Amino acid sequence: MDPRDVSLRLNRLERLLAGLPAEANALWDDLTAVKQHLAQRQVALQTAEQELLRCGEQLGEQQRRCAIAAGQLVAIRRLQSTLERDQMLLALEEVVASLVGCEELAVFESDGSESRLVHTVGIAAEALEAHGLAQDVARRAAVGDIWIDEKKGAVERDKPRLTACVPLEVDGRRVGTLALFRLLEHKAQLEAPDIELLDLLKVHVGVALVATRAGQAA
Amino acid sequence: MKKILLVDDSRTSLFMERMILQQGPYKLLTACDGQEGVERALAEHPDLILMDVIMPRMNGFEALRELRAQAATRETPVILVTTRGEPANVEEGYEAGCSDYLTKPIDPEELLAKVRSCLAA
Repeated sequence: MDPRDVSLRLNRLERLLAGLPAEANALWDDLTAVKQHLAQRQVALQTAEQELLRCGEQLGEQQRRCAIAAGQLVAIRRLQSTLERDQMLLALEEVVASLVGCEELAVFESDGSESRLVHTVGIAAEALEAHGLAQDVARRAAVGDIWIDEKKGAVERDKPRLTACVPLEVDGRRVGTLALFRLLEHKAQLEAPDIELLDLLKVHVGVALVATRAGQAA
Repeated sequence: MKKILLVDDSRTSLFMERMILQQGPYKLLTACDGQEGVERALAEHPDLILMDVIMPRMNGFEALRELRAQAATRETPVILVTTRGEPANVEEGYEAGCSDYLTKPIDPEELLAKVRSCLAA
């Protein structure tokens, strides 16, 4: 090789090597900036993930509320769809079975201080007397508020038991009582949405009872 | 648009199922007992059937067996939707040929998930 070529190459190499520290420093500065940017993006991502989680929880809650509202709307529509007492009681039976999860119920109608049994589903009138349930209902109903059996854990299923007692009202006046007995086997207990629905039934079944009573009298 | 046949003698249940499903891309048909359910399924060829169990004229298990006996509906997915959640009833449902089983009161999210799953299969 020509010594002049070697010299040129060495000079070029020397210049390159002389520039390396500066270039390395520049690269190091770039790397540091990228790291900082990445850290900021990670913080933003974490914030977005938390926000997404929060929105997901809110969406879940809204969906839950919509489902509850849908059940309530269905119940109201069914109960107010007829002036025929038989059809109204059938609608009530369906609402309690399909939306609450109970196929044993009794409806009492009140006229002043008198209360009489007008309808049962899944439980005979005689059984109400035999198991003392009619008295149980009367005692719970006298309190004036919705009563729910708070008993937890496994319950006896071989005999009927009162699970809920709902006073039926129109204009604040007691017109009857709805009593629910054993729940469906796969339903452990009444939940908050069920109690919300029962609170709705307190008025709407009361109104339906009075409206269909007028229809019966006609 | 997928076609779903709702078979139930309870107007309340039909109403509730319609409310849950009507937001989705589904055309909904109804029948009020097992016999009518079989007839509509054979006539309309739904993509999915939601079937109650305790019904007059023909119960859900009988209707399901009839659907499985017919070439036109042998493969149609059927979800039993019922208050009868006892293990013996669930077992009978699967033995009769149901694709899935859902107990009442219906959980809307669970119903939608099972509908989507059966339609995607």
